[in-house]
Amino acid sequence: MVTLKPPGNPLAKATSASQDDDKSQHYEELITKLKSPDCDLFTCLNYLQTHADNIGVQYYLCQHVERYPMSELRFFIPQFLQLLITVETESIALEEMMKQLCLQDVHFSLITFWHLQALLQELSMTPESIGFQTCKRMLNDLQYQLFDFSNSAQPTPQSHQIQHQHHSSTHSSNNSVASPNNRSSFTSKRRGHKDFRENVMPSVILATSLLAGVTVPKATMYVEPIVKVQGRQLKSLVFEVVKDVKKSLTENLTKKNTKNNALLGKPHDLTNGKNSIDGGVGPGGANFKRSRSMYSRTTPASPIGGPGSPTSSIPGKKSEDLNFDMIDSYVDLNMPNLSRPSLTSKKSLQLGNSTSGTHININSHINSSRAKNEVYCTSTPPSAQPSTDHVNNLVSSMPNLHVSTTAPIPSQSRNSEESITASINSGNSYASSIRNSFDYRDSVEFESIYGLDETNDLNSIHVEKRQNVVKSVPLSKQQEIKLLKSSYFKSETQFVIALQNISIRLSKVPKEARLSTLKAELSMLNNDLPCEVDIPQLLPKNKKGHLHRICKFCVNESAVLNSAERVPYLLLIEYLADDVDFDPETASNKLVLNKLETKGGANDDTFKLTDKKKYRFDLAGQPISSSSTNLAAGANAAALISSSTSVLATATTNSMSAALMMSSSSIRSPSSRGSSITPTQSPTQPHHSDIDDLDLGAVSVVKMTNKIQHKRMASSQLNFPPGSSTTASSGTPNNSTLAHDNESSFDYLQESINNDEADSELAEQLRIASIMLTQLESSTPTLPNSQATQIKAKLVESMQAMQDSFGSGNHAKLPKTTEGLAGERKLSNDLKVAGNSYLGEDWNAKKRRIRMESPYGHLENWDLCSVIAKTGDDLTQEAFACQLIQTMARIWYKDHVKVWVKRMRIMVTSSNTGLVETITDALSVHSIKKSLTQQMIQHDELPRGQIANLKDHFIRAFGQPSSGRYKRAQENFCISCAAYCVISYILQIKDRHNGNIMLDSEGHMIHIDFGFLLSNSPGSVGFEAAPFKFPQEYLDILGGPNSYYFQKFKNLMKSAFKSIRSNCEPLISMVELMQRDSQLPCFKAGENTSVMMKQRLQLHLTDDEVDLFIENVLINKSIGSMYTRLYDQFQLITQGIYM
Amino acid sequence: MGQKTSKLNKEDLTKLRAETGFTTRELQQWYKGFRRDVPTGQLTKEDFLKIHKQFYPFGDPTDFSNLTFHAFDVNDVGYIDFKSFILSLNTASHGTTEQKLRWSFKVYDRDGDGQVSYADLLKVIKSIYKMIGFSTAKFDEDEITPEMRADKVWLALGKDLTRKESDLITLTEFTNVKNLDKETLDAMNVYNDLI
Repeated sequence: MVTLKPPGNPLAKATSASQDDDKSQHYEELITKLKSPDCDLFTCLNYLQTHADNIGVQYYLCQHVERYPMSELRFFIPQFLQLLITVETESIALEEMMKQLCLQDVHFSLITFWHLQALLQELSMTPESIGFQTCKRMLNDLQYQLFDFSNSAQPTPQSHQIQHQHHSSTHSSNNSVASPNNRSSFTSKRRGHKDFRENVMPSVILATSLLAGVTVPKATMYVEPIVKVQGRQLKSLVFEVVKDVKKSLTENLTKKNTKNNALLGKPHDLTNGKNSIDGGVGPGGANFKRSRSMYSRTTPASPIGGPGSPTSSIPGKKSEDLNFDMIDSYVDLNMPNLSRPSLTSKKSLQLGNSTSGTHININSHINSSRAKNEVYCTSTPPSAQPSTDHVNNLVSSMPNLHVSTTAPIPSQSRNSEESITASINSGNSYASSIRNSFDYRDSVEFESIYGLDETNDLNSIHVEKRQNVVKSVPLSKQQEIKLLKSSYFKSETQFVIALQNISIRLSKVPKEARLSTLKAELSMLNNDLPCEVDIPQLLPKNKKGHLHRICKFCVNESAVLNSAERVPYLLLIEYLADDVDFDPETASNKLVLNKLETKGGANDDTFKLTDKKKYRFDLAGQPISSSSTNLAAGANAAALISSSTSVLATATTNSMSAALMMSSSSIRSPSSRGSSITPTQSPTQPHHSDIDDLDLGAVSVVKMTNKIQHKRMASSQLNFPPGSSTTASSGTPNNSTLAHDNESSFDYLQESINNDEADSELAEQLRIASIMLTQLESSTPTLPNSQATQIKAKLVESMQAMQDSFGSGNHAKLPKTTEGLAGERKLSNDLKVAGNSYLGEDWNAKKRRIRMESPYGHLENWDLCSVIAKTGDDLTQEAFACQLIQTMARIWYKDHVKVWVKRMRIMVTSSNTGLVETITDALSVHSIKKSLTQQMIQHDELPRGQIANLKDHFIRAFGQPSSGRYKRAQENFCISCAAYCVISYILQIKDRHNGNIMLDSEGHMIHIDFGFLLSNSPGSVGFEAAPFKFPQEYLDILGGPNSYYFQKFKNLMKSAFKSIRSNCEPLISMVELMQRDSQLPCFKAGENTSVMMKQRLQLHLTDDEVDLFIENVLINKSIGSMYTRLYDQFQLITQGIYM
Repeated sequence: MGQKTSKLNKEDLTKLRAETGFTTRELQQWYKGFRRDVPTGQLTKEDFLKIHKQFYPFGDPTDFSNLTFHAFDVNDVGYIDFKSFILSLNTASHGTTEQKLRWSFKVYDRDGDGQVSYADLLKVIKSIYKMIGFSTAKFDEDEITPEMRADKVWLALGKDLTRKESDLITLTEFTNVKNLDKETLDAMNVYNDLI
């Protein structure tokens, strides 16, 4: 019979596991090791990998892991997730552990959430893989956890649902599969063991453990948690859906959407699948990339059509029945058509317009805190006709989503079809579209790509919640905490998306206007602050149970860092330390709860504020407030421009002019604001048909958005002053009108400056201007060249005039973006403010100054931090590099090797965005040399054409070489340089030009920017062939070849290297784990990456030989290496980076 | 190979529905799950042991697995088919405490004479202790050995420690719920309503 077992059979797997009779002996050792005090998480990670074949061991390991301090667990999130998606195991203990930890710690869950997003993007090329499925499942579960407040104790959607039933007296609808009622009270202190699926292994153990329990009850209790956890495992059964799947599959294959086809899986696979159904054998998925188990373990799609829905008699059935990954994803993709819960459609019908109605509906529920407000406001039972107010709210919330999803695109393509397709197909914008819509689980993209079953569910749950809410069931304390948390998550995710969107917008704007745009965007975000947001990982550690509260961006201290396409920018953030917690009893939290819970509170000013706040964050900085000011109207119009032009462009309309006209007209007619939001049952849109013809299945949802957009546009057009609106809609504006309109809008802009309106108003103007610029850029061909340039120049000019008008203090000017190329590129960590010294203002002075100016400065727990928001780079690798460096630093610390390493923290928020901690009081060697050179040349201390030496800098900064200060700096340089030399040799960190090496105000050396390490290097040539960078001038700083500090440097290097050698396991296992199936560029060498690193450690040498190796091979080869000089020279010539 | 067994046949279904607390749909689901995890449809003694090794890695479940296999293999055919499996599962998850006790009596009464000796009892308890192992589980001081635990149980069933050799436990005594302490009762009911 053994031969009949498919490879995926758990029993077959168990065979190989138990072949070895010494196994249990082995496990004894494992336990001993785990119990020893020097067992760290690295060891655990290793064991989790090597003992993936045993359920009991996995469970035990996870139990053990959970005991580590949360801060350490957070550090290893990427590794845990990597384990989850790459290691094949029958156990689901790790996944359960992650969920549990997410429940315990908000930062843990946020970080996990963002990492999952990044992973999902990375894996999206192989949607049929178990890795992708696992990732998707986790993300879904997490979203339930994060954003749904009513789910107060249990991590799983099922339990949530059941609990909900429990609370909702209105819903006594009988769910045949739903457990007996007492199950909902069955709340274990640790996990919700709510569901037990058809798994043979745990059920056998369940039964036999009872047999044992008759005489040894402890035996039952011993294995009970494992049984319950494993019982929850959802493996798919033989599927019934397959025929539907096949049918729609053929339909869909005719469609051109490649992305979707990728998701669907190849027809070949389907045949495979079908065969295996017949044979009752597991899927033939040998080619799965990250396959881990042959069974897909889809999330219980949680009852499709929850209680109250007619389809609810068989909750979760559909997805349960899916056996194969690709079918899973297929069905996810197509669920909308297969089984849309009637609740949703009913709902949407009530709203009048089926498609857009649904969308609106979904939307409104997602932003649940806000949605709740709306719900409260209108208290509409599902059957009642929604009030106009409600519709208003909903509709006014629409463009945000759209704007944020399409904003990145318009300038790339003037063709709506293309741009929409692009947004879905191209990996990048796909990612950004996920990011951009905060509520992406319900957003169009999510719907189309990730499957509607969950969405529907959420929707129905929300509807249910709404009913609950209307009944105004008082919330338990647990629920209040959960509500507070979910509100925090919402703010947090929106906050991050807002920051990302700024970066996207910046990249659309010409370089000269970027700083002003940035300032405008930031000051608009400031309207929403202070708020319950912080930045996990980057801000200093929290006191137990408390979070920081960000209260303000220092608009005038922000800076755009790159002139390249990617526009990272520097942010200075004021925050109040340990100011937020989730105790529903505190005054501030009560206020928050009130806002979230009580009726809309239209009469109350505070509530209005909150409303506004929520709206704004939703919009990722696009302000549309319910009590709209004229600014909002302007921004609305502007939003319309950015999103609608691409649509308009399809029909030969001159989008630019139309857009400009619209914006200017709406600026001039504040009266249009209120009405522009009113939805009109829109007439047929001129360009509607263009979109209808799209043959992409997935576009359909986007289409809905577009329709809404059209509608909104139409409605706003209706409200325009007759003159301009006719011009705009006629689509054939002549140039003179255009010029005139532009003129007048400029005038308006200028005027508002003169009037010195509030910052926020300025911000609005700036944004409008920048959007106009964007439009100008994208549609220049339709305008005479000279005119476009003229307009552009004028716009930029006015923007620059405005950019410095923020606040009123006299601020030092920021480095302008128009500075030399290299200067900016490498500014990324330099907090330089032009001052008297070439070194700029030091961090503490800056902090004092900002504190003085800040309205929050008087608060005791006020603090300042600076971060860089990055978009476009893969920060996962950078974060991984920082992890490795920190791992090495830990080894040295434990081993008492007295070297100095800067801890760098990076928070990944998606596959290509993130926030990076800046190093305060430090400047890149490039900047130091540049400023110093200029200064020295000015003072005739240096002949022209020469570059200042680092020693010159040391003398200027720390005094004469004989002084104590200088010696301390020398010492600092020595201990940090030794560490970074070892690091950059072992990790092969490349691209070591002076822009990537920093010196802090105490003389420490810090390496930054880890785009190249382990197995990749810039260019194809091995430019930097030296083991590490050690130019002559380092030696000069240390005092020459015979100096004390050089000797010390050599000794430190030796001991640091030997320390790593003898403790290399965590380092190597980390690389081994992360390189598996990884797409990161640093793993170009694949599985060889870790092998090569091992070779560099020279493990075959004795300690004495290593000393010689370091001295003769590493150091001697590096000192003044020709390669290093060449690379620096190359950078000097090509990038202008000082060598 | 190529079995057309994706669904449970009508007769079995009707029969099982009558004998268990499972609905038709649940039975079909479980059948699918069973066929997925045990494609041959026959769970052997070896498979049974493998499963136990998965859940009790820190001890040796061989003896216990061999003993309990017979509680499942009702017809003594050497394997567990779906029917035997679901009947056992039904008792374990839906049965009353007394039903569970009655079912477990089979394990303890290996010779099937309707009575359990102290030796029988100790044998099973020893196998349990062996299965769990001592590295991860902690037993109370007063039952640190299987013998101590066996004594406790023996006493709880109203037996005299001096008559270990001669006295026997009858089915009636064994299934008397009143003889169970709270800990045992809790253990018996820990999976109630789970499935």
